[in-house]
Amino acid sequence: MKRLLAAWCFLVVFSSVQVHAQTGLELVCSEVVAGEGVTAVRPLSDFFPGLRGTPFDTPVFVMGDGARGTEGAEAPPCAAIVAGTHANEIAGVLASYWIIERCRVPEGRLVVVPRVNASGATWSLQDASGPRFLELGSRTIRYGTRLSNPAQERLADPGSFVPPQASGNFPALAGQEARNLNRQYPGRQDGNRTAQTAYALTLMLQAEEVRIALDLHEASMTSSLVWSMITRPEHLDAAALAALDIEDETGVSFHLEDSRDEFAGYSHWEWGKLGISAFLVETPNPAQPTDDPTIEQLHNAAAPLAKRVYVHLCAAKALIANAADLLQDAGALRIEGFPSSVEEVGRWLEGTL
Amino acid sequence: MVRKHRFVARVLSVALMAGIGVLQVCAQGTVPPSLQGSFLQPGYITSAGQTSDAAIVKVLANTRLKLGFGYDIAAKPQSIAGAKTLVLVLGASNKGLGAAGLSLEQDIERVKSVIAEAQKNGVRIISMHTGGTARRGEASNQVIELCVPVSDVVVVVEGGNNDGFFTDLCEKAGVPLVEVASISAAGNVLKSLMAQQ
Repeated sequence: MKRLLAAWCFLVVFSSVQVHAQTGLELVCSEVVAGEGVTAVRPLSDFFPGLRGTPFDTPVFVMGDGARGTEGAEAPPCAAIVAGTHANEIAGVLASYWIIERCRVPEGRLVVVPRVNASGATWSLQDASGPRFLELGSRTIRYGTRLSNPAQERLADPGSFVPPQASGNFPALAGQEARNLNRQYPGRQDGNRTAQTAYALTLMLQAEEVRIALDLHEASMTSSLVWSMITRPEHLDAAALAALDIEDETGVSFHLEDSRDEFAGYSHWEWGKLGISAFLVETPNPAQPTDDPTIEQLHNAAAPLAKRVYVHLCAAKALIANAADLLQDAGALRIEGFPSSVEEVGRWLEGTL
Repeated sequence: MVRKHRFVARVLSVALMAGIGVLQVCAQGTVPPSLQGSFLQPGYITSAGQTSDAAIVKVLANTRLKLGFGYDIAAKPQSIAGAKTLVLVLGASNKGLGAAGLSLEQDIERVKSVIAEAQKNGVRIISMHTGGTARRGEASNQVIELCVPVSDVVVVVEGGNNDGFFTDLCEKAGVPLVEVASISAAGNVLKSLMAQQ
């Protein structure tokens, strides 16, 4: 009987470990299928092996010409689209899935990381043992949380947290913010898994010679961040031109915010230090900030999901085009396959396109 | 009988005047004919409250409409030397104020000094609010209340005037208000205000 009980316990623990050991690669690839525009799929752990085999490892989809420019020739510019920093901000994730499935990059290169914090997609505020699932036609996606899954971290949360390169007088944040990926850039090799993910992404941006990078987010309906783009002052012109293009295409008027040193640890500030034109884009999510599971996402009257995804895609197109135009020494970067209407995105979400 | 007709005529004329006044304030996207082409070059753009929306107005005016305005988000009185039109982009932004190293009070003092310089030199003022509800709130309202009464015209993008705040201020100050549906439409208004070169 004791042996039977021991065997049962072993099986329970083993199966639990198996569930927890699902890597972010498997998780993401269960939600999106690479289209013909994808030329390579690499795990983020290729850039920092410390993530290999963990729930934090996540796919990097490379699109367009994977080769660098030959010596003496103008290197094709590379842009990056990062989403899923906060796994409850689903419009950005879906926008990046559209790009992976439907876009092509005839000139230049694009890398897409659709769920950069895959761990955040493994749990929900309502259920620490698993995420919520959203049924979208033939597609099912996870609705996760803002922070990494504490059960998957290698270090316990500190009592308080200060971003890696914050200035000396930076006010300490709550300890759980150590699991907020968008406070951890440029990351730490010896930090918790969230910090290591930030570190791996920073190495990826450098290795891929990324010149323009977008971080796709959402905010609660009442937040002043809704329909905003945040960037360092030197990139405001590109953001401003993009805002006009987005308004022309979608009718949504964005406002701009400045990034500065008080945003230590944030993508738009820290990626900018690498010489990258970095932009953070915010659309509204009606379920935030509590991730209310009763809020209908797909046909929400105030902020329908298709509109949020469409605006993210228009923002990606406009920001990359305008930022590339303003790069003095860059070659051409051309991305095709963006949607022409919010209805087209709606049909895609519902699986009828 | 004649008295009665006079009374009716007075009532009608008062109603007509009031109607014209309301129209001047409320007509959607319509620039009062008296203002069309009445603002002279060169123009100069600055913010009131350090909103980055000033950068949008700058690219709208200069990149899209080729108006060639000068620009400094934190312009000082000497910055507008030679300008004949001043465009104030309204909205307080904590991030913008922080980036400029200014408190709201310091920026308000800066804007007051720029307005004083403009008034001293007969520079006409266009106030623009393009940031919608995100650029409304106590701090933004302070700069709006400062700038609207000294403006020759106010242009507001839909959303920023949902509560009628601009309407009330403009009516009290007798300043024409032009409401538009989008930032691009605000650009069209700006272009129609400027005299042809």
